[in-house]
Amino acid sequence: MNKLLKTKSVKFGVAAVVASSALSLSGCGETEAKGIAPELYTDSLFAVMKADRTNYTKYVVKRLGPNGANVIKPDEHWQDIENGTLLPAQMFRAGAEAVAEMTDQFTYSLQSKWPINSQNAPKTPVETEGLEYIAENPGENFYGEETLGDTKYFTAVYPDVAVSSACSSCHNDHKDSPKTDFKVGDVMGGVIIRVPLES
Amino acid sequence: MATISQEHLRKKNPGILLKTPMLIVVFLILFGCSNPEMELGEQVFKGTCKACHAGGLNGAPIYGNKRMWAKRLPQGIPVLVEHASSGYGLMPAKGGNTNLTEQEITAAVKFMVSKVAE
Repeated sequence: MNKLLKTKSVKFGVAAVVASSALSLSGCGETEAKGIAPELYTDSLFAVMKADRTNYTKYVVKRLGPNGANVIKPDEHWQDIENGTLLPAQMFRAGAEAVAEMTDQFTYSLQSKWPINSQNAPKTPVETEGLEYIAENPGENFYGEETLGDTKYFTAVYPDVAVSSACSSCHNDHKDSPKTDFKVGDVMGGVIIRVPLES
Repeated sequence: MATISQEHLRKKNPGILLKTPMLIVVFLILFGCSNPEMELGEQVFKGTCKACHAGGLNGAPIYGNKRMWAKRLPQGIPVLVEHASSGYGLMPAKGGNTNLTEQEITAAVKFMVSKVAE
């Protein structure tokens, strides 16, 4: 298994080819799909996810929450309280679930070696390897390949960091958290993006 | 003042014109390029800042990304150090590492800026 695949140019399945729009014309007038490097593809997807999550944190939670106008209440149990709203990580997860309803050409999820919800623990050896790698190498991403069923996948794992004391204290104080000594700046888990590779 | 022409040097010591620049390069590598503040900055970056600034988490300007740093550089080092020390936007004070000194934060800021300022 490759620990770090560097810009391996691989022809993709439908999703990547569509996303790349990298088509060229051959000498015979035929259209040839060039594809996109899987690392560039998942990095690009992650950039969008990251930007949306940051903007939700900045422009909704911080601006309208207890540290701002105090008109909404970001809370894990947001559905049970008046004016409750999702925590940034929950909003991220809601996005992943919505995408899963739309397509199976790529999936993403938020997982951890120390999940509050056991459903968010790694399920494949590559997921486990990736989460361990990013925890041991802060600031680094992990890229690997794995075969699930009959399909070969490119799997990227990006660090999910405790960016504020709200993140670390929420996890440390949660009754279901298997780890209770997170600090700001610690890698708490990872975003796993998986895309099928063309066989 | 008497000067020594390159022709004279070449005749007297055929290898000197080649050796001198090489000696200067070796000297710079050994003694001239060491910058304690940059080394400290790199150390602090790897230990604290990298967790967010390597990947741009929560809007942190990515290390080495000139596009993201372009609107921050004109603010100057003192302002950037103040933001890093006190917290700014979604960034926690001192990047969450309350043990960092002002000297260490300044070094880390200068280290990151040095990668995008050329």
